[in-house]
Amino acid sequence: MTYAPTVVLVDDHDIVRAGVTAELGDRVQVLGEAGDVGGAVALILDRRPEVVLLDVHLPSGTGADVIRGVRAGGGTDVRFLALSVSDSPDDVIAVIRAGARGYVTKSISGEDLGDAVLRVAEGDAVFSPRLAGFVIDAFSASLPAPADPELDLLSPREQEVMRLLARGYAYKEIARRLTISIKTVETHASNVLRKLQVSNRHELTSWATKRRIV
Amino acid sequence: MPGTSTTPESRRTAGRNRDWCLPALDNDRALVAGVASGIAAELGVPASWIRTSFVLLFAIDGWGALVYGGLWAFLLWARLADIAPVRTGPVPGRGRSSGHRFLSIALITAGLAIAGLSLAPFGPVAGIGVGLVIVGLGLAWRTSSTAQAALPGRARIHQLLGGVGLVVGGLFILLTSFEPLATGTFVVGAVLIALVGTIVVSGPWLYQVLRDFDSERQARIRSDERAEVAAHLHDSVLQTLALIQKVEDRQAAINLARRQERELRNWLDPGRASRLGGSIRGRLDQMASDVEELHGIPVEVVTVGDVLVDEPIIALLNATREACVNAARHSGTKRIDVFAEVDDDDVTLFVRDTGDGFDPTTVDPDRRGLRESIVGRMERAGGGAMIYSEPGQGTEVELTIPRSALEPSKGAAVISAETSPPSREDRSQ
Repeated sequence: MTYAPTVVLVDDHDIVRAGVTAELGDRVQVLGEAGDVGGAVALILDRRPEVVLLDVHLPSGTGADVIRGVRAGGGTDVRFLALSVSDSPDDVIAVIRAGARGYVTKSISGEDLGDAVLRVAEGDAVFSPRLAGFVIDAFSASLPAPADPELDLLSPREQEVMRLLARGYAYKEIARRLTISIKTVETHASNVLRKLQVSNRHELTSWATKRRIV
Repeated sequence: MPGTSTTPESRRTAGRNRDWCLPALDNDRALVAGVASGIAAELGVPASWIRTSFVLLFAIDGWGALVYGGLWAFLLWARLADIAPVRTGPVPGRGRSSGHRFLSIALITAGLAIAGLSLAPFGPVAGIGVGLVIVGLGLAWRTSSTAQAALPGRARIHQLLGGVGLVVGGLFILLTSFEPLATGTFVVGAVLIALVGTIVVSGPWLYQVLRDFDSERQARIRSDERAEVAAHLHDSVLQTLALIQKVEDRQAAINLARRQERELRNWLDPGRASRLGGSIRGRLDQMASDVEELHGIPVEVVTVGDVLVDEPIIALLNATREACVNAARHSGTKRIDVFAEVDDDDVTLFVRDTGDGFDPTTVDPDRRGLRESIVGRMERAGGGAMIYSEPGQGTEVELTIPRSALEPSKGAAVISAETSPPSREDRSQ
């Protein structure tokens, strides 16, 4: 039997949970489902899944609250993949900065979702084209003098990888395109995710609100 | 599930057993306003202890009256502000005769009066006045409380009249004890007393009436909003759901669902359509919806930056649409990715599919879509187009339009279709 990671689903809509469970089929082992922040934190700390599929919006808070609750409760080894219909950049950046390993939209196909869960379970970052677009946007805002160039700017190679992701390329295709190994592509993606999480860049927090006034 | 209900009864029990909560005015066992019996219930001691304490406190320069009045005002406010619970329901000891109650009230009044007479800080006479006003208000306001609604009408009227009498008497004593008023004309004093007395006594009713009016208005607004939402959902979402259930074809069902989703999103955020109408971001979203609807292939649009639509951008949008339609029709792809990036110098746009692909050198000259609608259109607009494809590797169309073409003052720098974009070298393999 192939490896099937353990998963907890957090979404307040029964229909979505049922749909996701059906789509993932036997590619994952669903350990449980929760519909609000408190219930999700308790369930995750109890079951200790490898991956949590996390809705960005919950009735009693946000996906970021769930991540912080689990981390505070000692669940440091649990990995999160945000799964949402929300296309608001603020929500997406917030959940990534709280520690999610990736973000995919709910319109993703069952097969792609299964791949994404597997990748997150193995510790990799998962970028949907949309998330890559948000990242390019966030880091491209011109900054007179970056406080820490190491964290506040993407390297040319990282920018290249992000652009290809935004264009809909898979890691495998990017590797072939740039004649580098898949592992290297994964490293670039993980580094970008880390920069997104730890950069203190003022733009990263205020950018989402500003860009609405285009 | 027991333990989660928040009835006054359970809150009272919880308040006594676990953590402290604000005492409630006890309408049922009240002699004056229920302050003493409320506190007694909270502390679990006989009410008479608290009452005696108040009377004794009153004897110390009349402080008891101030403390009692202050507590009363605070607890009343707390109840009206929904902070403290209202004690309701049958309570043991409720069945005392009204004769007994009036006797108690009379005794307390007398006690307060005597104590005030001897030592009140405002002067002995004023002390009596304060005592009378407090007791009178207690009586009058209790008449309006719901707990008293069960009393026979005549008893309530007696109680009310008694209360009003005490208040007016107390105010009279209080006012005449002040020098300026005592020396003024009697008429002014009488009018003042009557006025203040009326306002004070009718306070709770006025408040109740205003409050009812306000909550009724809010309820009406809420129900109007609800009706509007229900009407909209009925006309849109419910209709679509009914349609989807009847549709045999899976693709048709998906198209219906996607169209409904877009419609609902626009309805939830009314500014969205108009805000995006004039921008490349909004137009691309719209284009994607149209292609999805017509051809049943999902189109994922990612836009970085934004720019207002003008002639060259419209050419870019039309070329993009053509590229998407081509991919949807001929490539057999499962989805189309569109990525647009607006920077200071130009707008770059990619349309990518993972379908069959083709060899661009052997394209049938009759395929006017590629030659005319994409490459020709872009060149005429001052931009360029490149098509990358290999059999079995999918197709990617790259469109570029310089932003300087949008602002003639800068002088248009035309990028030809042959210009090789960065990071393309690897394609020459």
